[in-house]
Amino acid sequence: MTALRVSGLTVTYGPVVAVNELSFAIESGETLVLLGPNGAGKTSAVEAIAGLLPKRRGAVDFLGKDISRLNASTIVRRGLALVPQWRELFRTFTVEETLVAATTAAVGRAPTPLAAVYELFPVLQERRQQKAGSLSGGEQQMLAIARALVTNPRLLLLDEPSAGLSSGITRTLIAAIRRIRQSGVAILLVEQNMEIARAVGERCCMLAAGRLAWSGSMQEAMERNEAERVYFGAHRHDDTG
Amino acid sequence: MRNFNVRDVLVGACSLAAGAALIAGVPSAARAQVNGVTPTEISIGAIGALTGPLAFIGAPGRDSLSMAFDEINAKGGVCGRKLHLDFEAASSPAESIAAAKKLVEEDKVFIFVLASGSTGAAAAADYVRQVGVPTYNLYGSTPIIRNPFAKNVFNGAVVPVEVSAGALIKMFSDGGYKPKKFGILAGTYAFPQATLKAAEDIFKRDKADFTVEQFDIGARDFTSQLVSLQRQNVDSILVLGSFSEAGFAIKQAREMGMTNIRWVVDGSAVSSAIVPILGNADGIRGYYNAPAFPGQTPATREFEARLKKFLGSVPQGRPSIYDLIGYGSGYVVAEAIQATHCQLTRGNLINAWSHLKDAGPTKRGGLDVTFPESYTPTDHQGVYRIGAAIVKDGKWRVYRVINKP
Amino acid sequence: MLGELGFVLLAGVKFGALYALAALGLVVVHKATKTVNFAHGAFAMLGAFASFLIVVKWQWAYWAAYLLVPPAIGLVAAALEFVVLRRLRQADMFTVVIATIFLGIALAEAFRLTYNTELLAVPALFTGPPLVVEGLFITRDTAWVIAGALATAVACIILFRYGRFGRGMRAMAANIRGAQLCGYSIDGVYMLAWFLGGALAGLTGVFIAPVTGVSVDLAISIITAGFVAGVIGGFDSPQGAIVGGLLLGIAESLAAAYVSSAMKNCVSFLLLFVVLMWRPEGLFAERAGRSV
Repeated sequence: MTALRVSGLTVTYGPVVAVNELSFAIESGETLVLLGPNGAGKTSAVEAIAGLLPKRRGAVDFLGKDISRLNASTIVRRGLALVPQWRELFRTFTVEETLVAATTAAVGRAPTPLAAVYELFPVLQERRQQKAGSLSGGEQQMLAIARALVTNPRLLLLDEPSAGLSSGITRTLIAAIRRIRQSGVAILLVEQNMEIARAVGERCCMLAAGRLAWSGSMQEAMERNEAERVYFGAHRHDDTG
Repeated sequence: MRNFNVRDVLVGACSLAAGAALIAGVPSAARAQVNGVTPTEISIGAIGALTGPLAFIGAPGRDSLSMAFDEINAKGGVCGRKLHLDFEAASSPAESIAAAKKLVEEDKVFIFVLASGSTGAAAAADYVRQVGVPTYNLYGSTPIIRNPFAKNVFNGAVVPVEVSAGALIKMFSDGGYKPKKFGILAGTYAFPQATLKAAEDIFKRDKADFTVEQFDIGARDFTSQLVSLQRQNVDSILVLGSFSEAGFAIKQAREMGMTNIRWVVDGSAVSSAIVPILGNADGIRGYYNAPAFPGQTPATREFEARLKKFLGSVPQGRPSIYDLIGYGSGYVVAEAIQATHCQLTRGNLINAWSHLKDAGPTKRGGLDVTFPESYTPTDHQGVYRIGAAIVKDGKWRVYRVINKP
Repeated sequence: MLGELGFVLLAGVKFGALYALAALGLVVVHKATKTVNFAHGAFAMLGAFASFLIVVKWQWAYWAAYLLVPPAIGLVAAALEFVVLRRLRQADMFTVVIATIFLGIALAEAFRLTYNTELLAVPALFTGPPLVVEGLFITRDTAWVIAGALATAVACIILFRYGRFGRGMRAMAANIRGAQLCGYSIDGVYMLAWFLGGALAGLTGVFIAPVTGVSVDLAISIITAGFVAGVIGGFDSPQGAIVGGLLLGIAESLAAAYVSSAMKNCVSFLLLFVVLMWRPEGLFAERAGRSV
């Protein structure tokens, strides 16, 4: 079954077109990586899908149902969770409070038990009573992912989870993302870090200037050095896939 | 009226507002006539607040003047003409001046009535002196409208503060009571301060033992002031403020065990509304600017019935003193016009008004609800008399009339 | 003179408890929506007026006022949020604040137009003889106001801290995008916050009606005291609102008694100034700890 089908998605900020007629799909349990240089429109695309940004045009179907007119809180209740780029944590909440707060979104299905996310990120259990604002960057990223997992999603959108983190932490995150995938959750990963992309991705889409520049299997992308071509603009006039 | 909800209040408010707008917007038939006199109509302009915190003065002023004029017109009017009220709503000093100018310069009213209390009267004082329009101050006790003397300004039923302060102090000794130490509880705002100064002057002159405590406008907690008065063994307290301030002060004093105090409150606190605040308000004294309260005499009872008929329904707390005075003043206006022998110029009117003796509703068959007004060319204060009032069985009544103290 | 000081302190606590209740509603709405609701005083005035209708005009049992008025005013507040403020969600803070100010004025004037009177008196719930403690007269009504207002405040703290709704409001306050991603809808939380704020205003009105009477001035005095108490407490937590309210009430009472009776209004702003100098974030602002 198709977890997510995006067709003709367009996001604008005033006159600026951030995402232009973007279309792609993710199958259930699949991991898709969205690659692209800064300003390619990756974050705009995932935030629009998650309902945080208004969509100018286009359809978003989640598990076969149109969600393009729903707001963010309703979308997460349907089972599509976003870990946003800036994490958007509640700095004044403790770790545990944060996770309890997210159980609200599990409507009509059981929330993921806190024990399960603590098992995935043992450091969070140690920091249970600590305020989110006092955690390190890596711990905050883990908390942001844990918070999304508590909602028991069918599809997880991860927006540059490794941004600004050390390679040690990045490896922890890779392990965690792999385990999430194994549990059957479909994942849309936005990344610039090729290490993560290669480690977890099955298929990949490349964005340039708001448009889909290339899509194919992760392996093919690596072999053809697609990333470099996208980053250096070789695809600008080449819309063949 | 079983289900209260705000929609009802809002709907009511909107219809009232629309009604007020209609009244304000009806064009005057006599507009743009020189000096407001036509062969069929005499135009009388008035200002007062219809909204905001002073609406409790202006609204009764408008209603009761209209009612008096209707009665007079029903009996043929004055000098063969109908009296027409041109009322402009004005709350702030700036609005009051603008409304006065509009009535005098655009509508060219024959007589200008201040139905607006001290605020409006003080604001318009300079202007009316300048243009010389015959001006009738119904409710303002302020000295600004009285001094310096102007031959076109007439002050009606409300007495100046020196007179009311004297009457208040006299009331402490009524019924053989001998005060030992006086306390004054005065608001820090303009009106109580004026009375406070007058009362202090009298106490000093009489070498009475007294102490003063003050409170801010709208105060509801008087603990600190009362503690201080209690400490000084005060047995007689004069409260200068609104009925709500006086009511809560007296209520609190009782709660603190201050019984056996003689309470005298300013005229602004003499209202039936003080009774429910206290539960039992019997024995509290104050002054009243009319010879009897609504409901006290056949005349005031009849007045209430007529006002109810005139307005459809009488709002909470009405008729008030402002209704009684407005009504009586309407008749004084008619009498002053009649006294010109229908030579309707402003000069003649001012001259005739300055010689009025015992003017009031009775001569035209109106209800006797106010003190009669008398004027001389050098004294334009129409009334010096004051009703000494007391609460008895939960109702205010005038128990004696104090002539010029 | 313990008796004298006792009276002064008791009066301070009584009014302080009412200020705290007023501040509580303001803080609840602010916490969730980042809006200072300047119509809060008018809501409380409506509550006091409704209490007058129930107790005096219709002669129903007094408890009916405590039971019916808070949800009724809560619904009014939520409806106004839905009709007026929802449209202003995208507008800047200034516009929203101005809107609440004028909403308050409109409500107060609507009341004045329908009930054109200076003051409506409401009897106290308890009228028996006062309790005498060590020479100090405590009227039953005073005891009830203090106990009732503080009990409500404590209930609010618990709801805020441990209730689902309280968590949602705090999440909304901490990070509005994050809260949405946890399934809290902005519309839902805003409306609930206004409902709860309105209900607290209504309850404030019921408690305050016998103490001050019902008048248009009530709208102004409640919003002023509530705002100052709220700022002193940090405008962030129910605990702050309670401490701010009590501090304000006691300071006013002491200053009026031992400095000058004309000092009363001045002292609230003095207190505000001192607190803001000493701790600009207020006494009880929730802090995030180390920032990253």
